[in-house]
Parts: sequence; C-alpha cells; structure tokens
Amino acid sequence: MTLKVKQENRGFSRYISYAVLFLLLFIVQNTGASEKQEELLIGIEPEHNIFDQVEKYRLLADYLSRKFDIKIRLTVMSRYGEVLKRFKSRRLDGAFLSSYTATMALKQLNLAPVVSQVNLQNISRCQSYIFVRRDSGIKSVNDMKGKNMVFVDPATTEGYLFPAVLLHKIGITEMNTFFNRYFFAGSHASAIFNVLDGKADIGCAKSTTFNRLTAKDPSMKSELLIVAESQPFPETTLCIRKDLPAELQQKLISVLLAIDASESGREILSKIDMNKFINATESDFDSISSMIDMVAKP
Amino acid sequence: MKRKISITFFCLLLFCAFLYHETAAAAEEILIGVVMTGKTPYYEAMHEAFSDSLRGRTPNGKQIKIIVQRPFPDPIALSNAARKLIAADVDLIVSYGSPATLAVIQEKSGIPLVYAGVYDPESLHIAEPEVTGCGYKVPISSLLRHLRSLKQVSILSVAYSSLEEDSVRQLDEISALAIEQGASLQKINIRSHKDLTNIGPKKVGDALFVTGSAIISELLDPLLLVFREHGQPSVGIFPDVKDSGVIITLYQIPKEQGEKAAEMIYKLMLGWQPNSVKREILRDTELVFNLREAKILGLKPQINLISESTKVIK
Repeated sequence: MTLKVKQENRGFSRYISYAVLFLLLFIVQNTGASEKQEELLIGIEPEHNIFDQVEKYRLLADYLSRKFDIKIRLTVMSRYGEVLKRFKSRRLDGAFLSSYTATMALKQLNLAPVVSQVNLQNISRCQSYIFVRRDSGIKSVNDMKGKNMVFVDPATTEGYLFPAVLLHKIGITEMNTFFNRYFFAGSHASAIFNVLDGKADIGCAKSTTFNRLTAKDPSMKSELLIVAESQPFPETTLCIRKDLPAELQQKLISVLLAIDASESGREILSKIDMNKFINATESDFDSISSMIDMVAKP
Repeated sequence: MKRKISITFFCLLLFCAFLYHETAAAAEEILIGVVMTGKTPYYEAMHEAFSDSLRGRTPNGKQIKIIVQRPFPDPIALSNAARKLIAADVDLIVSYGSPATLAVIQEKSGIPLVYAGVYDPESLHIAEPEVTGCGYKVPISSLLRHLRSLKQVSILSVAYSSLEEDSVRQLDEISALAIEQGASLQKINIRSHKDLTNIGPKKVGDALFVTGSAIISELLDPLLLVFREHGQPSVGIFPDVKDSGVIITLYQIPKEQGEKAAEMIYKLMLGWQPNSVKREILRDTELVFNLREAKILGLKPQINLISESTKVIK
C-alpha cells in the first residue's frame, strides 16, 4: 500500500518536472523572440549581371541601415528557386522577389508582400514577351513545333509560367515532344541573347529587360519579333516575414514608401534605376497563383 | 552420253547462277560522290559526321562506297571534280559549300544531289528538282554586336573570297549591317596567298571579319598575323579549329549539318525523290570567345560576352 502511494507520488512529481521544463523552454524561447533584432538579412534574386545588381542593392541597404539602428545585410540567391529554401531555413528576414517566387512564398511561407518597386519609366509591373528572330519564319505557336526554345528559369512568371500556360491552354503539356529542345538560360537578358545568337529559335523574357536592352541597342529590336505577350504582373516586390516585430515592419514600409520624398533618397533611387516604392498587397498575386495551379494540374 | 549432257547442263546452270549472283551483288553497291572545296576544317567536320551517321543507316543488303573530291575552289577545278564523279557513275552526290554545290548543278547530270554547308541556301534560288539539302544561317548582326561590346569599330575590314558564293553573300550582308550601324567597310578579296601581300596598313581597320571561305580558312594564320601586328581583333563564322586566334566565333555546328545530310541521303537510298525531301536551314549556333587572345590584344570583355559564350578559351 505504502509502496503504491510512493509510486503515485513519484509519477506526480515527474509530471511537475515536465511542466516546469516546458515552462522554462517556453520562457527562453519567448525571451529570444522578444530580443531586439540586430540585423535584417534581405535576399535578392539573381539577374543577368549580379555584380551590378549587388552594387545597386548595397546602396539601398546602406541607406536603410542609416535610417534604422540595425544593420541591413544583403544576400544574392544563387538562382530563382532557391529563395523558398532559404526562407524555410529561416536565414532570411525578407527578399526582393519576382512575381513567381513571391506568389510561391506567400503560398508556402509566412510572408507578407509590403512594397513593390517602381522603375524610372514609372512602371511597377512587367509583361512576359515570347519572341523569335524576325527571319525565323515563326509567327504563331503552331510554327514553334520542333524548334528550340529558351526559357529563363522554371521559377519565373515571365520566363516560364506564362509561356507554359499559353501552351497548356492549347493542349500542349509535354514540352519534350513539342519542342526539339528546350533549356533555361538563367536570366532574362541571357534568354534574349540566346535567340539573337541563334542558340534558340524562340525565347521568353520580361518586358522591362527586353525594352531596356532594345532601347540601348535598337538593332536588337529590328531583329526580334514579339509573337505573344501577357497581362502585366508585379515586377519586384519586397516580401518580409510576418513574424518580424510589428514596429520594425511598419518602420521598414514607411521608410521605403517615403524614400522618394527626400533628396538623399531620390539620389539613391536614381543610382539604382528606380523611381519609388508603392504598397503591395496579396491580391496582386492572385492571377499568378491561378496560373501556377493550372500548369500544376495534370 | 545422256549422263554427259546432264553434267554439262548442270554445270551451265551453276555458271549462270554464279553470274547472276555476281551481277546482283554489284547492284547492291551504292556509290556516293562527295565534293568539297579544299581541305576546309568546317566542311571536313561536316563530312566526318555525315560518314559516321551514314555508317549506321545503310539500307539492308546494300553497300555504300564514298568517293571524295577536294578541288581548289576555282570554277574550273570544281567543275572537273563534278565531272569526274559523273563519269564514275555515282548514284548520289553530296556537296559541301555553295561553290561545290553550284558546280555540280551546272553539270546538269540529273543525279540526285544533297548539299550541306551552304550559307543561306534560299538566296541561291535552286530550282532543280533533283537537289535537296541543308544549309545554315548565322546571325551576323549578333556577331557584330558582340564585337562592338568588345571594341568601338568605325572601320570594319572584311576578308572574303570572290571565288566563293557563300563568302560574297556574307560580305553583302555585312555591308548592309555596317551601313545601318554607321561603320565603313574595308573589303579584302582573297583568292590566293598573293592577295595577303596586298594588305597594307590602310586595309587594316579597327577589326577584321572573316567570312566563311575555304580559301581564307587555309590562309587564316598569315591573314590574322597581319591584323595582330596592328593590334586588331578578328571575328568569324567558321570555328577556329587550328586555334589561329580568332577572338569571337559564332558558327553553326557542322556535325548537325553532316548528320542531316546523311539523313537525307538515307531517304534517297530508300527510294524517296529529292523534291519530296524538304530542304532545311539549320540555325543552332555556338559562340566561342577567345579570352586568351583578348588579353594579348589588351581588350576587356563585358561580362555579357563571357556569360553568353558556349565556350571561353582561357
């Protein structure tokens, strides 16, 4: 009888110990969470010339660091699709994302779109262009059968998703059999050069890159023919973790939205080929989300 | 006596059967004549791919024999080479490059002809029904763009050969592009080694464009030497097989044309009519950048050129 009571007591104190341990762990974890954020790590998706890109965003990061009492660091993801993995391992606090990765990040991770970039032409959105060499004889999707196609990256709206949806809508789901060969160039500019150089017959890229390159060298425009274009999509959006301190989130948004109001801010913007930032919402990505679902379905 | 007659008759039958077999065996051989201009590495690579590809495509019970003619690319030599093949009673002819192709067509033999390595074949307007083949097209404008990214070019020297149709048509294309881009042209016509001695400093512009020519391919080393001495880079649309120092090459992969020609010949061997085998233009290219040569000439490439190159020679 005595033995039974002793055993019951021992069992009870074990429960108490577990409860105390759980409480301690909970306190430690919450103390950690409420600790002051010492730095923000922001990711950037790679473009054609990552050296230029890093330099541009470094100017912005330095500006933001001066406005906050925390250090803002940048990291370039090695390729478009990597951003989701980075977020999953909690190494990033936010990232400037293209529309496809932003949509995926909103779907899979606890992120919020906060601001979108507006370029020097006062445009915050871009289209997908599907183009060919003017002398290729390709004028429609039907002429593309058996040709070589260059995409940008599977994790891009303008450089993969839009053309894939376009083909899907007319019943082409197997690119391996439709095209003689297809490959990914890794950047929008590279996809354009691949078609210009004849390494591919058909290419796709975002309109802003296409227009920038062809404005710089008009001979490119005379050699290329746009055979299809999409509706506009948000080009680059800063998405941040929803669990960042609310005060920090608000401050980041207000500093970026007001960056064009000051002389020093405008100077930074002009150096990085930007005009201003505007508010972004989750609904900006609804159409892309539907496109992803469409292609994902068998 | 009766037995003797039977034996003689049997021997006669055997002899007839042997004769028939020999005749039948001879009929199984398909003789293919090949004409290419000189020992041009570009055409040699094409022919190698053609032969390799054809080896695995021989129709059942048939034997293929290939006779190759490599004349100097002047009209008389090419015409003689074509006549030799016709006299050898070849069943099919394969030609590499425009000069060889036009020489065979001119003989009007009626023998089915498959061409390869012809630049922009549509512009040749070949109407003969016995002719089919695959040519190539390289975006010359793109090659000039890559050159301009490396160096400001106000005067572009173009090495071409008036003996070769392909080379002349490329010169015309470059001339039109140069006008568009506000550059002036220095035309250098190379028909023999002697023409190299006429290249004075005035002919050396800011860069050299080497057109696709059999003669120039053979004289590439001494030609580039002249331009290197003046510190000027060169670009071309034939692969720099001998590593002569062409800085940028944008070329159609010769292996693809060789294999395509083999595919066409195979169809003809199976009984297709040449006019039912669709003529093709191949446009897949390789971009090769010679960084080592650029360093020697003190030229700094933009990152785009390096990232877009299929191969960078260091």
